[in-house]
Amino acid sequence: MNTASKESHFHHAHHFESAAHQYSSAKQGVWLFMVTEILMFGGLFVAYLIYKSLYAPVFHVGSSYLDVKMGTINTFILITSSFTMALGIYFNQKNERSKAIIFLAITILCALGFMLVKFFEYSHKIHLGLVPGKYFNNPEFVQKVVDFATNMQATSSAHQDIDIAALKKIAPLYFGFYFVMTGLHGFHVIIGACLILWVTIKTAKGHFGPEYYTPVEGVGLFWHIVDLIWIYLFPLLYLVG
Amino acid sequence: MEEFVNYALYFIACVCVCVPLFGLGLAPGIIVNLEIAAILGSFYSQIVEKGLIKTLIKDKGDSPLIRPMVPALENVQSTIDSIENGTFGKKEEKESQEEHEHHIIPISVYAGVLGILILGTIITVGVAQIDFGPWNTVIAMLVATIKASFVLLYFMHLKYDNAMNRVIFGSGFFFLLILFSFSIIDIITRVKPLLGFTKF
Repeated sequence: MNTASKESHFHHAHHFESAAHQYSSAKQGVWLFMVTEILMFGGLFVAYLIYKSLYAPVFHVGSSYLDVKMGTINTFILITSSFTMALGIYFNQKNERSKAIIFLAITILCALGFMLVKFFEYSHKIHLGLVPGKYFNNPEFVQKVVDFATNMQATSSAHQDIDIAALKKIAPLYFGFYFVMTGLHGFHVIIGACLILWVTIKTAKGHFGPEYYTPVEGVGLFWHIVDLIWIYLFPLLYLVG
Repeated sequence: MEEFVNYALYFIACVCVCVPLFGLGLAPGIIVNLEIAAILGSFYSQIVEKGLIKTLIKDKGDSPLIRPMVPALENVQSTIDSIENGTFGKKEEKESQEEHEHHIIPISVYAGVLGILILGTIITVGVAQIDFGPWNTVIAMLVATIKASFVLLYFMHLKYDNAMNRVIFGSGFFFLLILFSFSIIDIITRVKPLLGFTKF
């Protein structure tokens, strides 16, 4: 007995009460996963804030080395992709398959554009020797940090003891944070793009329709979390020095 | 046993919330007294004497102090009754599932959210160019939080979602808050940090 429509041949699994039950259970699982994502990035944000308060000069000079223009372009790209992802889900709900495919494809293109801008940013940093740890090779950056710290010490009304030797040693730390945080985020963008490609192919094959679009919704949630993290990452790294 | 575990968790949660406040030295005496009063009060009203609300409505329902609260108290009593009967939340959950299945947010709402997000980004970048000293960080984080809430509510459909998903997200956020507050207390008490609020 076939009660599903011709467009999508969907029956809910036997251990669920109904299709709605299966949908909400799957979505709840995705939300639990999203919480672990938030907590993982949250740990990095806490570490960033701790070291920013301990070694403010390093972070102030470090953020001035980032290209705000490229960061802003990337923010617009990600916001637009979030919008097109939401529309991809919307047209799957409305059973307009070709429109859904177009908007999901635009989302993938946005992800690729984001990674392209990231590639230019990263290659510029690596070219300047602004990389984490022992590979760091930019004496000019260290000198700027030292200058800024001594200047701050001289002008600050409150008496602050700044350990110049410690600052020199800790200077590459900023790029440790920069590469780990944006790198982990970029990794999520790549995985998200692959997942969107997967649901686009499934949409094209006609697996989804108004009664079953759970994978699109789940991938959409993941993609919006990627956008959400960038919304916080962008001002913290690029703007708040 | 179950009740004991519940109250232990309640106590731990209270301590987690209040320790940052103790650390900052914000009225520790008042907080301690309130904490003890709240814990003793809830123990008394819910474990020792379960029918407290009923007797309160019956005996003092006419007094001007209690009368405005009677509808709210009756609501609480009916919730307690439904928990005891084991019917709590069963009907509502099913309804919200059905309701959600058919809810589709129109494109105009998505477009509006996109507009707000773009506007928020322009504001963030624009404000960063002007030097507001200590307020730059505050404004940037405030705008980011507003943007994030719009993404959560509309793009991620949390506004129309069932309560469980909202609770799941809220719990994640709550534990993040604990992590933040403990770390900041640690830093402030151990070393004198150069916070982003000082103007260079």
